[in-house]
Amino acid sequence: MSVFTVGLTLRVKRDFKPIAQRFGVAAVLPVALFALFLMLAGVAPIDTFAAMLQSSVGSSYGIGEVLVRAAPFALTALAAVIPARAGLLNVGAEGQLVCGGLGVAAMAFALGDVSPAGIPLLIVAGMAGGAAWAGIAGVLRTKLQLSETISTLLLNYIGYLLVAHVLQGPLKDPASFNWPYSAPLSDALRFATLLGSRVNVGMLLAPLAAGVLAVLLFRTYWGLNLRVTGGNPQAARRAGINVPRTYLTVMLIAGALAGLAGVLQVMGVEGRLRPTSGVGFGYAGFLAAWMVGHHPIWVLLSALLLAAIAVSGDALQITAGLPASSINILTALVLLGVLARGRAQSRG
Amino acid sequence: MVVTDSGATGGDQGSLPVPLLEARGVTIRFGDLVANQDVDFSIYPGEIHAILGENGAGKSTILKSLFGVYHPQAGSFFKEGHPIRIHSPADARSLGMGMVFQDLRLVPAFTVLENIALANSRNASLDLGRLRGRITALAERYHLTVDPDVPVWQLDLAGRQRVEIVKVLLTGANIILLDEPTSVLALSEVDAFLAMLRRLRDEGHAIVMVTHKMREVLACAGRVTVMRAGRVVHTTNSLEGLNEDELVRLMIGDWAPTGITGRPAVTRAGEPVLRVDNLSVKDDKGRLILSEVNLTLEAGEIIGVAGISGNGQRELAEALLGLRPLSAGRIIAHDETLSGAPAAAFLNAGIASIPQNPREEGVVPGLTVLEHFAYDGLPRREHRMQVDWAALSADFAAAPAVDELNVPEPGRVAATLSGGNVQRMMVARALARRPRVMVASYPTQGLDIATTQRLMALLLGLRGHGCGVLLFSEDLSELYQVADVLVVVTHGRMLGPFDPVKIPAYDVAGLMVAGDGYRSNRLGHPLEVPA
Amino acid sequence: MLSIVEAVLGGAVRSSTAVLFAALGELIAERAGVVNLGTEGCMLTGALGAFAVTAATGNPYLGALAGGGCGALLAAVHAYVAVVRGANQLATGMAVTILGLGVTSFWGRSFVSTQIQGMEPINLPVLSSMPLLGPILFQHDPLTYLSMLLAPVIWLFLARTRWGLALRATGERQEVVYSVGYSPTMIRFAAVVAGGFLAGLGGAQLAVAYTLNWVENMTQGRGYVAVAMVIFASWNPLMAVAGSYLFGGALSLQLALQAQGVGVSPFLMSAVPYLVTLGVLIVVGRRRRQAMPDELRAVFEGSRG
Repeated sequence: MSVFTVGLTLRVKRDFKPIAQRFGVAAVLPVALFALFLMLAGVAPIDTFAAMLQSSVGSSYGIGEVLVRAAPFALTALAAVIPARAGLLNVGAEGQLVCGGLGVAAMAFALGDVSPAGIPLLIVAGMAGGAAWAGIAGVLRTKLQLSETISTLLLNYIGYLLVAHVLQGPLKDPASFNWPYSAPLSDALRFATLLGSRVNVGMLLAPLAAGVLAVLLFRTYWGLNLRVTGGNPQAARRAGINVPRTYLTVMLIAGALAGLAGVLQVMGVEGRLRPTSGVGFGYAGFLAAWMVGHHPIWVLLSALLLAAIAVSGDALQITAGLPASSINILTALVLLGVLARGRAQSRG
Repeated sequence: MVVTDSGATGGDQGSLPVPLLEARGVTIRFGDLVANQDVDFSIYPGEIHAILGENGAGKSTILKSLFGVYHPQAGSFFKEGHPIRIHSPADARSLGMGMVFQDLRLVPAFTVLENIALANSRNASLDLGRLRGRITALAERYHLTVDPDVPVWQLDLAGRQRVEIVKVLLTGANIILLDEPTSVLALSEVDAFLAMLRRLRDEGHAIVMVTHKMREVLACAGRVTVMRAGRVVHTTNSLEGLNEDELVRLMIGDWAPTGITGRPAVTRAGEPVLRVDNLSVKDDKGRLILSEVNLTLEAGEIIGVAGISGNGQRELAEALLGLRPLSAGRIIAHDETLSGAPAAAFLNAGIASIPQNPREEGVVPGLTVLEHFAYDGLPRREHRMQVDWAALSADFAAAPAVDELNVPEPGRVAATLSGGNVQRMMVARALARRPRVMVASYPTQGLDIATTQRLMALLLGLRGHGCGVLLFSEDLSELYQVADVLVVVTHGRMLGPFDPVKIPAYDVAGLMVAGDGYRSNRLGHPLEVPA
Repeated sequence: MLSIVEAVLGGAVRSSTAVLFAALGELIAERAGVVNLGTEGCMLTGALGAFAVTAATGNPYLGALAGGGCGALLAAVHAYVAVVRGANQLATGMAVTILGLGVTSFWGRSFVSTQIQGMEPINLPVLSSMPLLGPILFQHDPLTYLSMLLAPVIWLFLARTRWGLALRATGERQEVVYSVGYSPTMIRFAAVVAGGFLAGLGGAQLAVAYTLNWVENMTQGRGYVAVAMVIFASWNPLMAVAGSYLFGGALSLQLALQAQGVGVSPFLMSAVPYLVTLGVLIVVGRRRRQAMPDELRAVFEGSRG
C-alpha cells in the first residue's frame, strides 16, 4: 500500500476541506429523508440503520463485501476521472467493463487449461478489451468530432448485447445448460482469495491504479499537460500540446481501467463471465468520480461509500423485509445532495 | 486640444428644437476603468448622429447606457425635455428605441422568420404567414435583401445585421441605435447601407451610429460627436468645414510623434529570423481575411503591425504560431519551412507569443502561476521522471522579466489574478522562452502606464539581444515609440513597410481606417515612404 | 405469411409505444437544452404509479394520468438539481434514475403479484378492418393511439406556437431568449417536467396496457433507449416515431424469429437500433449533428461544467 500513501500526500491538504464539507452536508439530509421513507413504510429507522451498519461495516464479512464492491467502483470511477481531467466525459465505463470481462473470457477460452502464468495474459486481455471499446469513442472524437458522451452511451448497450450474444454463442459453456455463462476459470487462473471470503488479491489493483494515476496526474509533465488540455484546450495548443492525441490517450487509459474492473469481477469474484457481470458498476463509478470532483485518490473514498450503501441494502431485505434495491433511494439522495451543492468545484 | 464649437448640453442649439432624447453628464465606471466621463449626448428626430472614436474611446458604452444595458454612476436622461429613467432594454424599447448590437442577438439555427417571430410575437400561435408578409414589405421598402425562410447560420454577418434591422423596425422603434454597423459589411455593401440609413432618416427616424470610419460619417451624418478616452472631445451641429484630416486629428488627439525619443540606435544583425511569403489566411467562418502578405523580420528588429483589431491580426498571429492553417503561402524561420508543421515545431524554432486574449488563450483554471510557467515557458525540469518543482521555482525566480514585471508569487492560482497580473504573467512567460521571434499581440492591454513602459523597455531589450519582434497594436504612440518598421493591416491587405521616422501618425491612422483608398484621397502627399 | 407480418409489425407498434412516449418527452427537454438521463427513472415511477392507481381504482385511464404525474414529479427533481442548481445534467440524470429505481422497488413490492384489469385494445371503426394496415396500426390500446397523435402535435407545438419557439430558442441560445424577455430557467424547468410526464405515460402504457403486471425494474433500459432515439431522430418528433418503431420492430421481429426457430441472435438484433444510431451519427456526420441544439452541445461536448 505504499503507493497509496504516497498518493494520499499529494494535494490532499488543498482538497480536503471542500470535499469534507461536501460529504458532511451531503450525508445528513439524505439520511434524514431516507429515515422518513422507512417510517412511511412502517419500518423503524434507527433499528434499520443499525442493521445496515452492522451488515456493511459491522463485521469482517461485511467489510469484505464492501471492499469487494468498492474495488471495481473505484476503477470505473478512475475511468471517468482521467478523461474528465483532460476535458472529456466518459459515460462508457459500463460497456468498457463488460468488454474487459469479454477480453478475459475470450483469452481464457483461447488459452485453455494453463498454469497461473496465464494470469498476466488474462489481465492484459481484459484491459485491452476495455481499451479497445473506449478507443472507438476516442477515435470518433478525434477524427470525426463526435461527442464521446453520446458515443460511449450508445456503445454501452452495444457492449452489453455483444457480450450477451457471445455468451449464447462461441463462449457459451456447454456444461451450463441453458444459462448464458462462459466456462468457469480454473482455480489457477483466479485471483487468490482471503480465508474463504470473496476478498482477493486482485482488488489491490484499485488503490494501486489510483496511486499511480495520482502520481502521473499531479507529479509528471504528462499529467500537467493533460490537466492543461482539460482546463483550457486553447492554451494547450499554444503550448504545443497535441490535443487530439491527448484525447485518444485518456480514452484508452480509461477503457483499460474499466476493463480492469471487469477483470476483477471475472477473475476475482464471479470466476466466469455472465451477462450481468458488473452491470451498473460503470454508472456507479461515474457518479463516484463526480462526488469528489474527479480526484484520483478521493474516488477510493466515494467508491467505498457507494459500495457500503449498496452492500447494506441486503440488510434492508433481511431485517426490514424491504427489497434490497430500495437502498438505491439512499444512494440517489446522497448523490443528488452532493451534485446540488458541489457546483463550484475546482478544476485543473 | 479639445474642440467644442457648440455647447454639448443641448439647450443652446439655437435653431434646433428640443432633443428627442438626451443624456447629460453620464459617467460609467467598470471597477477602476472609467469608460464614460461626463458625457453629454443628444439626438433629434430625422437626423443621423455619428459617434466617432478609436476603439476603447467609450462609444459603445454611451450607446448601451442609452439602451439600458449599462447603468451610469452619474448622469441623467431626458425624452423631449422630460427626465426619464432607463433601467433595462425593456424600458428603452417602450421609449421607442431599438438597438442593433455589435454581437448580433440571433439564434443561428432558426430561420430569419423564426428569429423575428421570437422577438415580436404576442399571441400564443404564431401567425407566420402574416409576419412573413410584413417582413417582405419592409425589406422591399428599404431595399434590404432579407429572405424570411433562410436559416440565420447560412447568412453572413451583413445578412444577419439586416435581420436585426428588420427586427428593430418591426417593433416600431423611431430611435435606432447602431453599434459599429458597418464593421460587418463588405466595402461594396456600405454605400447601400448608408443609403438605407438616409432613407430612414428622411422618414423621420432618429439614428445614432457608432463608427470609427470617418468616410461614412462624411457620407451620411448630420451631426458628429467625437470621443476619445471616455470623453466627448468634440460635438458639432454641422459637418461643414470638416474633412477626413480634421476628423482623424480629433480622433487620435493632437500629438505629433516627432521625437521617437528614448529609442536606442538600430543595431541590426540583418539576418532574417522569420520570413512570410505570399501568405493568405481565413477566419473562423472560412472567409479570406488577409491575403498576399509578405514580410521579412530581421534579427534585432521590431516591426509594428498597426490596424484596427479584427482586420486579420489574430489570424495572422495564429498562422505565425502554427495554430491556423494557411490558405496559401509559406512561413520560414531561419532556413526551416514551418508552414504545415504542428505548433510544437514553431515553438521549437524559437517563436514565442503573447496572446491577444490572455485569459481565454492562456489561463488554465486551477493551476498556479508556477504551473503555468512549467507547461509553457520554462524548460523541462525533471527528477526521477517527476516534475522538479524546486528547480522550476529557482528557474522562475531567475527568469528574465519576472522581477522586472512584478509577476505575482508563483503559488497564486492564476485564474484569480487581475487582468493586469495575468498579462504580466503571460509576457514574462513568453520572455522566459528566450525567443528568437516574438509575436506580441496587444501586449500592453490591461497594464498601467509604468508597466507599459517597462514592457516596452523589455521589448527593446529583446531587440537588443537579436530577437525579432512583431508587435501588433492599435496604439500608434506605442508603435511609434519602439517600432523600426511599420506595416498596416487593413481591408484584407498588409500595407507597407513604412519608416516611422518619415510617415506621419495621422497618415497611418488614415490607412488604418480608410484602407488603401486613403492614398488617393491625399493628393500631393508623399505616402510611399520606403523603409 | 401475411399473418406473421401483421403480428410482427403490430407487435412492433405496441411494444414501441412506451419508448416513443419517453423519446418524445426527452425530445422536448432536449430541445430546451436539457438532457434527462433520469428518463429511465421517470418511466419506472410512471409504470408503478399507473399500476398502483389502476389496482386501487380499477380505472386504467386514471392510472395512466397518475403515471404521467409520477414521471413529472421525478423529472422535477432533475429539473431542480440540474437546471436551478446548475449541476451536471448527465450525473444528475443518472442519480435521478437510481432514485426512481429505489423508490419503485420500495413502494412496488406490495404490487408484485397484483392482478389488474388494464386497458383493452380498441379497434378503430373502418380503419381497423383495412387489410394489412388495420391490424398493424389500428387495433391497439388508446395510449398507443395517443402516442401516434402526440408526435405531430409536438411538432406543431414546437414549430408553430410562441412557446414552442421560445422553448427551441432556449435550447439554442439562452441569452437571446433572456434578452427577448423570457426566463430560460422557467422554460427549461417546464420542459423537463413535461418530458417527465410523457416518460411517465410511457411507463404507464407498459404497465397498464402492455404487460399488465408490475415487476421491479420492468422498463429495462427503455428510458436510455429513448435518449438514444432522440439523437437518432436528430431532435425531430416525427423521426422519433420512425426510430421508436425501428426499435420495436427489431424487438418484435426477434421474438417472432425465435418462435419460428430461426437462428438469428436476438442480441445482435437488439443492437441494431444502437448501431444504426451510431452509424447515422458517423456517416451523416456533422450535417446531422448540426440539428443538435447548441446549448446541448455544451452538455455533450463541453467541459465538465
